[in-house]
Amino acid sequence: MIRVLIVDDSPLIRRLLGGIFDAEGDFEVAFARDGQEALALLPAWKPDVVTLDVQMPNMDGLACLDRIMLEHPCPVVMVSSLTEAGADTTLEALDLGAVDYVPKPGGAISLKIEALAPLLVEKVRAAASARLPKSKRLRDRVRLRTGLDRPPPRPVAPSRPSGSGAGASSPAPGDGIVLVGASTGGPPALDALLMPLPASFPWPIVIAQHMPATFTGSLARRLDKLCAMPVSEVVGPTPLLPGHVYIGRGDADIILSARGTGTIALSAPSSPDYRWHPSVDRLVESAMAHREAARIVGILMTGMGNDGARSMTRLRAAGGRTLAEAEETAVVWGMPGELVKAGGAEIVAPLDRIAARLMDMVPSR
Amino acid sequence: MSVRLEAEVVHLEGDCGVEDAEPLLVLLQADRFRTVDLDRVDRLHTAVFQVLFALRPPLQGQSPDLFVRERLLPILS
Amino acid sequence: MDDLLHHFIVEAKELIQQASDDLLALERRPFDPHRLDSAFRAVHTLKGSVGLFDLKPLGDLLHAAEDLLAAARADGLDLDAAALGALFACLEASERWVGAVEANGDLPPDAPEKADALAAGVRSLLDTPNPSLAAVASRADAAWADALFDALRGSDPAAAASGRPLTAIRYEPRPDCFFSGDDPLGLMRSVPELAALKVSARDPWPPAGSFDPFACNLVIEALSGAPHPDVAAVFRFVPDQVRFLVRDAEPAPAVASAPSGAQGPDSGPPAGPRTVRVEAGRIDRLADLVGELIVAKNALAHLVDAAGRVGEDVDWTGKLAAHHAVIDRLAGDLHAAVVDVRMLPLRDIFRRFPRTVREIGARLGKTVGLTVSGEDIEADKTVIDALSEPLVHVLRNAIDHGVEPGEVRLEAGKSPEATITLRASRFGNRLSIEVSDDGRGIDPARIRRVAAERAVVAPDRLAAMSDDDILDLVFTPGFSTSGSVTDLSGRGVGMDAVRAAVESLGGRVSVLSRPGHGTTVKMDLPTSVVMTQIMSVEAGGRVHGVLMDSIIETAAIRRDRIAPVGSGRAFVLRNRTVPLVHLSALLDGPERDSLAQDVKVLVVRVGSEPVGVAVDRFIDRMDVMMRPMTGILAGAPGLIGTTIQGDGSVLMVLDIAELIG
Repeated sequence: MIRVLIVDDSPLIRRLLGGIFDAEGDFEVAFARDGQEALALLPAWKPDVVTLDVQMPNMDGLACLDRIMLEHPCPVVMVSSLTEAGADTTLEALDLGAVDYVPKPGGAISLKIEALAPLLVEKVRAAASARLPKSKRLRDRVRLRTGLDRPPPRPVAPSRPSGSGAGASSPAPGDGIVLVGASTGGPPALDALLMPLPASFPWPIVIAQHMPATFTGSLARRLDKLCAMPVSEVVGPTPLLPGHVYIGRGDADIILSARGTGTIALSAPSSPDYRWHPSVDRLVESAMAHREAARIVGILMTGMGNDGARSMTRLRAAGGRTLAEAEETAVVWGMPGELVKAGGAEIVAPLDRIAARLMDMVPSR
Repeated sequence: MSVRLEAEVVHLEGDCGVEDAEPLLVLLQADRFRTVDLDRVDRLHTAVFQVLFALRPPLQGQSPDLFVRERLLPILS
Repeated sequence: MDDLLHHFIVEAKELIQQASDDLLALERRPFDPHRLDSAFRAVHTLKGSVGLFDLKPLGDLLHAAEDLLAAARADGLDLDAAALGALFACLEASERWVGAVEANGDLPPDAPEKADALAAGVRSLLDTPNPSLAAVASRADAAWADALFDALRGSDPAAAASGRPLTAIRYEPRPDCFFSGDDPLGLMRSVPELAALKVSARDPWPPAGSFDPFACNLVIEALSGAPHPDVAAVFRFVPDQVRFLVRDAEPAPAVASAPSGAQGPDSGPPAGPRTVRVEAGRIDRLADLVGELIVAKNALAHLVDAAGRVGEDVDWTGKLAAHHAVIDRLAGDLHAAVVDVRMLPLRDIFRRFPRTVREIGARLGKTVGLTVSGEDIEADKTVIDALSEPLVHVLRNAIDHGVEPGEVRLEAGKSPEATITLRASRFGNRLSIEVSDDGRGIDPARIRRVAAERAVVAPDRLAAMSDDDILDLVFTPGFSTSGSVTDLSGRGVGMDAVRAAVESLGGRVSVLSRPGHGTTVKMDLPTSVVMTQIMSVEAGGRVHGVLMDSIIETAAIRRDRIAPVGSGRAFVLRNRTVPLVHLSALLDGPERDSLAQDVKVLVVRVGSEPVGVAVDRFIDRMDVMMRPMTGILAGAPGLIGTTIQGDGSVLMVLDIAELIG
């Protein structure tokens, strides 16, 4: 049995979500009407997963989440509206330690109940066995809650002095591209990957993070503030520049193509041939059609499902470099796990080492 | 893939979907005088039509589809 | 009542009460942030709950109220008497409507208009432009349509001067429309009676390097001969991106400008997206069937697993056959249920014909009445949609060529007022539509003369043709018997277009005439174009298909029960004597005398009588996609179509009744 605590101020939504889990048969459900009730229930009932409404009276969802992560850490799935305003709050929640989010039923941009139910169940099941992100230090938490200026990123050096004759792992010459795929647990993982990278990073980085369209703009703006490299969301055709990070717009795919002699990224209508969007597989395949594999680095990080595993396995076979997040740090070891199982991961590294390993793979500028 | 380059002629074939617009654009930008052959087009997504409409490459062939042949091609010629 | 809906009603009443209390308090103490917060939260939560149900007007109303409260909260907008008044009005309406939902399960019929009015009142306070006012097209906006009409007059003067109202369309797809899955030209493809199509760039094309192939930069303009509602129906998912303008194609000034959703000049039924209304029960049935189908599919997966295990003793044939039977039944039921959802009454197209007939008659100076029957008969939406144009053409032909001028009718002893009868009837899954007039009929001699003049048929063949075959020549491409080319019928698209349209639906069209008494055009169509059930049988060493609809039953009759009757044979089935013929004989093939003790017989209905048709073997029942006969076999009696079998061979499908009759 999976014990799930539903925290929502609307009796209707509580009933709706409760009904969805009841129908599964292997869930035990409890309810709390607000954050205070939830905090009171947590120590005794010990849920496997909490679903938490973002907007509640008395104590709002973020405040409640913060207390949960501090006092009784357990996986939390946020129930949030997929609006632009909801995006910032939800990204903040992910930063505070929430594992995932689902769209709020009945919201301005909402799924029909029939579509929501399988998504909710899938995400809550994954969350039940998810690894909790390492608790943030109190200073970080205060900083996140108050929105104070963040400390400047700490640039990392390559884990080995570059040019030390490292043989097969010597940096590929010329202009290459780094492709990053992430899903569940991705936003905090992207922080960890991008914050340590220096502004002088020699290659462009293109990211496919599974998300709705209303979220990716927020994600890009947030990362842009946090990182030394400029981060932007790709909407129209965008020439790729070294030292820049490009995030694919949500609810669409991001592909690489050619304009003249240069390479561009552009947002393409999501293809029904791929299940998740922006699709990591489609991104990697389009990159391989325009660039030599040896000049591509693929990084696959935390996420449910298997998007990216197939294409990055092909990438490695064609002479490209690939890097998978290790099981010990991935919130959900689905996508990187599939890559490792398929034999497509050249390097498997925990989240806090990925940036350093990436620096090994690129030439210094 | 419904876009194919053969002997410097771009062939559009079958059901040309939205995803075909970008490869068609790349082929036509590489050489603006490439001829596009429409002999075997059944459907032309608006995005693909738009690339032809904006770049005006030389066209050849008659689509078997009535709408493409009698409504869309006259606009492009 | 639905459990969830019941809870909603309870919650809604509490929230409306809460918001009302808060607003009353705000009326006394205008700047109480807690009350404002509480009112906002109540309305916000209620709006969220409304979204779970199909109560859009209520949602729209609450959305507007929420926006006003949010503005008051965020920007310190003053909730003055006007604002409070508007909010109270919203809450009162909400309370009334929730009561209506509780009592009747639905909002009152006037809710959409009321919601629009109240929401507009709230939004006017928010200082945002009112979208419904902004949508009203000014006279100057009609310039684009003038250009379209002018262009049509240049390219196709006949169509422009046909006198029929034309609907002008201006469709400006959103730049990101491809991302929502739209294909604007795909929509244009489904516009009925498209007369002209024009495409232009909305903004100048950017330099090649920054051209975005996934941003739509097109403006599409078109003219259609179909009525505004039919055209608007095509654009029902993009109403915000399209504008219409209806007017006569005569070179006259604009009669009216009609923004999306407004009425045409002759105020027919209110325009708007045409939807297929489906009974909830039919949808439930679909959902149930899909559920069963998934279970059946999963069961197959188990079988596949078992197949992977070596050494297990399994009766594969039996198991697969059992699974096939289940899935076959479900697929059949599912098909039937889907067909059912798509069924529409003929009334949808017949409704406008009385006006069409009156207008055409008036134009030609003839008085014509139309009697209609069978408008309740249902057929697949595809068939209904595709029938409209050919029927209008046949009606026009009847009035133009069939009906005599009043004086001639009086001389012939007829009433000066002509009558056209439009009659639909249904037999099994075939639909028959007849258009009869009581006019002069068709003179075969005249057809012969015209056919000879125009060399439609070789002279020797023409001479050999019977009068019935001669009539069929009116369907030959390019044939027109009208002495003077009138603006109504003599436009090159003749009865050949009618035949092509009907045949593309898997139907047939024929014409009957009694000189002096009138002409009947008869269309025989499937009610659905999706699938047809046939039975394949073998006779004389060849396999044929027979429509399941025409088969009453199959029987095995003992040879000694078959007796000679007159020149033929017959047998007794349940106290009734049934004549027996062999299918091979009907097809002029060799009749092989089987030695089997039982004779396999299809009992089919011919007219109202059962007839036995002996075959060598029953092979299978199947659902097939029928293709109408084309080429030299098109006129062959008794053949209704072909279908491609799984092995690629072509199976001829027979109309047994016609073979016998």
